[in-house]
Formats: sequence, structure tokens, C-alpha cells
Amino acid sequence: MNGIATMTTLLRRELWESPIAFKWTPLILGGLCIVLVLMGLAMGAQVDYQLAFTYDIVRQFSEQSLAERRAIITPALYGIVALFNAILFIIIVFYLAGSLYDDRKDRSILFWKSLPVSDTSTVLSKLLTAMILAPLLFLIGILLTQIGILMIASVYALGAGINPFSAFWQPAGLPMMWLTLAASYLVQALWLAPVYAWLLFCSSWAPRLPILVAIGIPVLAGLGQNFYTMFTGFRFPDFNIWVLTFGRIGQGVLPVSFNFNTGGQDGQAEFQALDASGVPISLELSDLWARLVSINLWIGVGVAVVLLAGAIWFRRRATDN
Amino acid sequence: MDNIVRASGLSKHYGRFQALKDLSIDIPAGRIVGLIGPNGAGKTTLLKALLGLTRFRGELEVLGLNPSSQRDELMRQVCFIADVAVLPRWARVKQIIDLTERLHPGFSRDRCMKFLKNTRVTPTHKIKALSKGMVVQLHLALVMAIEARLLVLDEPTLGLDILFRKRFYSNLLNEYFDQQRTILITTHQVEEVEHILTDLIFIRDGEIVLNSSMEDIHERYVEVMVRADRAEQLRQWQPIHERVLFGRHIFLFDQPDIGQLSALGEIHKPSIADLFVALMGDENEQSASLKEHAA
Repeated sequence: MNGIATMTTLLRRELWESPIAFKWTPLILGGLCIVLVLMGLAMGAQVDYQLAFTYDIVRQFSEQSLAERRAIITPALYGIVALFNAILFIIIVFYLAGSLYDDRKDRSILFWKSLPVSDTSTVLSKLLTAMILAPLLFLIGILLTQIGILMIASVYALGAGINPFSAFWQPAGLPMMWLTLAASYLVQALWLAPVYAWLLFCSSWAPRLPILVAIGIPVLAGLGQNFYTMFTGFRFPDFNIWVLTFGRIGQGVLPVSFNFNTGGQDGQAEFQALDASGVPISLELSDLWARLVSINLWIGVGVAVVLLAGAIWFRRRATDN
Repeated sequence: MDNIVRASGLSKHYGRFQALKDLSIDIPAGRIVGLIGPNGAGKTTLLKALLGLTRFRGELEVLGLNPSSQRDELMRQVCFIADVAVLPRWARVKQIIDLTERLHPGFSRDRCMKFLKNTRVTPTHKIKALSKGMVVQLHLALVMAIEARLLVLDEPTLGLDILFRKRFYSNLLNEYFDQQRTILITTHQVEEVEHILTDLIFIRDGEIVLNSSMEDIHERYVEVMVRADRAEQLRQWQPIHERVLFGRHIFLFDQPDIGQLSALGEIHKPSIADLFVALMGDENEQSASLKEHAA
């Protein structure tokens, strides 16, 4: 119980330290989406100043079947998710790379270490911020944005004399989508855990520029491996550092995960399965489950545990210089 | 009383530089100990070792705990202020107070606010926006509001004005200190802590030069001020230090015959600063000045 209270406080601390990254960014992104939609509509209204044409489209849309409407609305709503998720990943990378380094640099580590908080709790609080707290806040941003956009659509539906609920809200199926999103963020966090743990590990010992250290090591290691293969012809069958790293980052379960060609590994097959479901970009709980029980994910979690232990080991020895 | 700190054979290297050389020390409970030494003497390294902030060789126990493996547990009973303003610059004052309250079981918000009342620090201030002195005031208020058995202050009053320094030390003595607590202070402004210390430790080049209670020091070391014509006579008695002030010669003796000395001149207790210069002063300079006098 005490541990939970401490962890809650430590998570709050992270939020206090980086309000722009975690609180303002999702709000600003959401605002940006809404503004873009409104600007698009305003431009449409320039041409179609009585909105007759626009209302016509809305009416035509509402006359389509539920499945067809869903096939149009769902990708649009997931497009928002893709935007949020791309930014979230970038923010988490920078956050984690600095998280165990910045306080060493500005010496405030001496204050944090004067509190009765173990180094394990400190490191875990950074990881939980990346895996749960930040995704949660971005998820809230997504929900608000989706609601906002559907509300704008509803105004048009009312203008066109159509029931907005059956036209837009029902095919959107927001509660199910949110549930799926929440679950997918958890799976995504586990999938990316080795990447996060690697960033924490580098942040914990790098003498300076932890972000460059964290990116530079795999890039150089991959370069070394590829050169070695080029000159000697020796090749690990299924182990290429670059493919492995980019594959891990690119093949998450959330939209915006890009399809990196790994030459017929699991990732690609799964993506084809997603594409074949008829809805271009969407998430199904069954896919999440398949990912959650995949050996690939748990190998990553195992790697993450080792790297975290390393991060904690260095954190215990860390002081201000 | 139990010893709060037990250290034996403590060593620490930074590359080739040996910051602590096989240092052994015991600090009993209920004392106010001044740890005094020149720059680079190993004060901060010793304190860091005590607080679990640096690795070391040798044996060390603080409140029965091993600082390097049990730092978080130790910090329930130990408070410290490092020699620089280290409060996180992004935070607001009230956030820091909130965090400390939630994370430290021995922290009292009321006490903290009481100490802050005498300052210009307000809860909505950002640490970034505070002057260096105000950050120190805030940090001192935080630390003084924690029920701790050992308080470690590394140059606590650096950058503070005289009024606040005086008030801080009087608070420390009157409101904070009691027989259960131990305070360990390092400072270069020895005159300020002189009157509150119960124990004195001199450290130089990673070694303990002196470790003694103030009573013992006052019994052991005696200063005598004599006219110039008597200086030669006193030099025969092997003073540990000699200096000249307004034409008078002041000699510092280790365990002298008080009766003999008082017949020759005016006797008084040496200040810590004088003792420091005598025991720790640059050896070359000292022998040079002795030679000069002899010539």
C-alpha cells in the first residue's frame, strides 16, 4: 500500500516536471485536429455557401449501410490515433533518454537521493510514466478529439435534417474503440518495453547526450554487423540488429506502426491479416490478444527486464558528477 | 550513547587521486560535529560515503545500516543538504513541499511553513525564479521540518546573508537539536559554528588530523600572548604555532604547563580558526615563518 502511494507520488512528479510533453501536447494536438476540420469545412462553405452540396453528401452518407459507414468513419477516427501515437512515441523517446540524466546534470539528483525512495522505485516510475501515464493522457486527448469531431459532424447532420446518432455516433462505436485503444496501448507498451528500457539504461550511465548514445550504439553496431557480413559473407540467419530494432519500433500494434519489410517474418503476416479484415486501418481485440501471447513480445519483455536491472544498477551508483 | 556513524578503513579513489585514506571514525549520538578541512581534503567525499552517494572501500555503518546498499532506508532517518543548491529548478515551491510530505514519513508541513514564514519564499514561486539564497532557505526549511536522527549539512549557509545565517544556527540549536539527534556540519566559516559545536574533526588529504570534543580541545590547546622579548624563551618550549599580532607574539601549545605560561603572558582559548591554521596550515609556509623568526 505504501509502495503504491510512493509510486503515485513519483508519477505525479513526472507529470509536474514535464507538463508540456504530457498534458499540453495531447491537448494541442486535439485542438489542431479540430481546427483543421473546421478549416476544411470553412473552405467548403466558401464554395458551397448555402451548404446544399455539403448536406447532400451528409445525406448520401447516412443512407449507406452501417458497415459501409463504419468503413469510412473508423479509419478517419484512427487517423487521429495515428497522429497522436507518432507524437507520443517521439515524446517518450526524448523523455526517457533524459529521465535519469537531467537530474545528474543539474545536480538535483542529490535532492532526490535525500528522500527515502529506492533507486528501483525511481527507475520504475520513469518506465511506468512511459508505459501507462503518458499513453493514458494521450488517450484522453484522443477521446476528446474524437468526440469533438463527431460533434461537428452532428451539427451538419442536424443541418441536413438527419439523426446524427444513427448517422455518425452509432457506426463510430466509440466505447468499443476506446476499450480497444486502451488495451492496445498496454500491448504496445509491452511490445516497446525493450526500447524503453534501453533508453532508460543509456540515460542512467551516459556521461552526456544520452539520446545520441541510445541511438548511436544500435546504429553503429548494426553498421558494424552489416559491414562484417559484407566482407566475410558470414550472416546470422535471423539476427540483424537494424532489422530487429526498426522492426520492433515499427511493428507495434497501434496505427502508424509502419510496415517494415523484414523478409517474411511474423510482423508482416500480421499486418496482412489486419488489412484483409476489410477495414483498412483498425484494431481488433483478437489481434491484440494474438500479439500479447506471441513469443516475440515476451522475448522483448525479457530483454527489457535485463536492461532495467542495468539501469537500476547504474542509478544506485549515480551522483552529481 | 550508541555511535551513529562507525567507519573503519574507509578509502576512496578518484582515478589516481586518493580522496580518503584508510580513514576510521566513530561519531556518537547527540553531538554537533564540525567537519573542517581545506578544499580537496575529502570532506564532501566522506559525507557522500556516509549518505550512500558514493562507493568506497572499507567498513561503514550509519545508524546500523550500510549506506551504499540501504540508502532509501537510511534516508528515513537522515537528512542532508549538499554544498550546492540542488532543488529541481522546474518545480514550484508547493510542489517540492508536497513531494517531500508524501515521500518522507518524518516530514512536518507545519514546521516547514513556520521556517519559511521568515523568508520571502512563497508556495507559488518557481525554484528557477528564486535567488540562490532563497533556494538555500527553502532547502533548509525542508530539512529542518524532517524528524531525523542524523542531519548532514555540507556548507549549509553558503550564499546567505548574515542575518539569516545567525537565525539559522540559532534555530538549529534551539528548535532542532536535542540529545537524540546528531548534526554533522562542514563549513569554511568556522567562526559561525564555533559556539554550537560539541565535537571537532579536522580532515586533510583524506586523513583525520584531529577528532576531539570541544571540552578536550579547550583543555589540551592553549594560546598565550607575550611581548616580543619573551618570544625566544617560549620558542624553546616547542609551540605548535606562532603568529604576530600588533607586535605581540601569540604561541599555541599542545598540553602545556599552564602555570609557567601564565607567568609569561596572557592565556586564552584558541579559536577553531587559529587551531586550524596551526594544525592544518601550509607546512612550508609555517616552517618558513618559524625560520624567519629564528633568524
